[in-house]
Amino acid sequence: MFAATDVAPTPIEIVLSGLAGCLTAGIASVAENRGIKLNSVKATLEGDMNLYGILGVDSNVRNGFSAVRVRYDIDADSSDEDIAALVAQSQKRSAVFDIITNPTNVFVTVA
Amino acid sequence: MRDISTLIIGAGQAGLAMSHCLSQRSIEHVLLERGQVANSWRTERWDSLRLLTPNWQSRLPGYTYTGDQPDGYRTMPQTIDLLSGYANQIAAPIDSETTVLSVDTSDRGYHVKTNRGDWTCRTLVMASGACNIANIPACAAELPGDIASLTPLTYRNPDQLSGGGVLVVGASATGVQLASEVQRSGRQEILATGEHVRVPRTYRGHDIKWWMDQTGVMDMTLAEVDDIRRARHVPSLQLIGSPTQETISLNSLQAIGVQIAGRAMNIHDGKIQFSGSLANVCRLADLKMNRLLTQIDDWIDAEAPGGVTEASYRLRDTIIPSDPLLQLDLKAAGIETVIWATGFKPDYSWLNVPVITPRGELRHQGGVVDAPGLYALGLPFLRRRKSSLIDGVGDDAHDLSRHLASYLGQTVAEAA
Repeated sequence: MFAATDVAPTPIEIVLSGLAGCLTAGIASVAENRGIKLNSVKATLEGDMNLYGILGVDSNVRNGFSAVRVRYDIDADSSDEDIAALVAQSQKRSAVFDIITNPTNVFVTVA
Repeated sequence: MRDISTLIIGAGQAGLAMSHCLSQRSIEHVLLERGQVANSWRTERWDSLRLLTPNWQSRLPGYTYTGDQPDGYRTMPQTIDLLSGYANQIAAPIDSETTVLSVDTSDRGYHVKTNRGDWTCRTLVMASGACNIANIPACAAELPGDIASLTPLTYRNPDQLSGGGVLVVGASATGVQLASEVQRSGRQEILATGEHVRVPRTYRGHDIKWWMDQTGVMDMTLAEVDDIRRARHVPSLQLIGSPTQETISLNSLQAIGVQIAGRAMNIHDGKIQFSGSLANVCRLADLKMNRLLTQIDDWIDAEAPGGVTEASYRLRDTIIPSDPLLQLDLKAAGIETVIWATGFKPDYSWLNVPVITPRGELRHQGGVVDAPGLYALGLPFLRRRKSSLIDGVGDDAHDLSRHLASYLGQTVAEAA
């Protein structure tokens, strides 16, 4: 965050971390359901953001991410296809993935 | 008021198959048909549609294809001929042009009002189809008024459309076929897709439907699935019946210029928003297709059927646009028509028997409806995966006719 001391995650980093947490929890639960033993699961996240959006420089640029990429490195006792299916199924059932990929009505009020 | 043991509502493949089974058991019955035999095939299908199953795979009780094009796909006129011919062959007792207005329970069983007089019956078979009403998402109501809105039940051919761009929502069998036809007619086409089921038309020298039949996939029964509600809502396969056995997919559509987008989520202020989950729904479909192909490969390895010379292979994964569309200003993008290929549901508006769940679905166990003497036939995964196919309705009709005969007090000796 601009002019900040950089000692804590920014709100948008928390959003990415929320996505990683949700997908990874989903992977663990689908794996358990399918009897797949996970040895390690690592998620690396990237979000593309053009600062012209939040700075108000260009009204055609959105404030938020223009794209988000999640890369999983998974070590499991299973085939590559089964691991890919775990990750796909986890996205299908993830609340945070849904919140990020689909429009949501947001109502902000002042008490 | 006429009275009869059994009434069948609908003279399509399901009603006719049931008629054949009841005749074999000497159960007196009449089919009430709102139009002519095969009415939905006559009046509710687009012009270019062909069956998705090959000719050999339209087996009905007492009928097997004997023509010289077993691997072809019937046009609608050929499908109507098939069912009309079958109705004649089995001498089905059909009251045509007879629309059922209401069904109520009565002391005797059921009281059926039609536009041509009333009936009472002890048992009633609802074979009125699974696709009477087009499902349209709620956001369709927000479509700007000057954009035309069609469903697969009202779409006939591209000549019906203005020359502008077209958005097809839904990429199951109907959506991909309409997207292809519209794009080839010279109109720019956008196809919005949620979860879908991808398969190749042919694999290792045979129609995919042949493999699914041979490997027993289509014979899977209710007892063999974990979640029957889910099984009943699996989208139709992305298939087209074409003389060249063309494979249709999001890749083939993109190759002719169709633009693909994620699931249509919302329309507001003339703008439609698409889900950002396009990559995942395509990945799910690719993985699922590959599992089916692996199942076929494994079956070939185990059974070693003759004549399979082609080696195992996989199709290219679905190509995802580098920057998939998330929002579209419909008018600015030149969209003049939206076609909602978002599924169908049966119409039970005439049924005054409390057997409909709050979700609007029929309460039944394998077609035995939760009301004495009431049956349903021809619905997705009624008793088997193939239940909704012309080829699958016969086994269901056989099973249910046995239950019905037993209900009427016949001694049913034969094994189930």
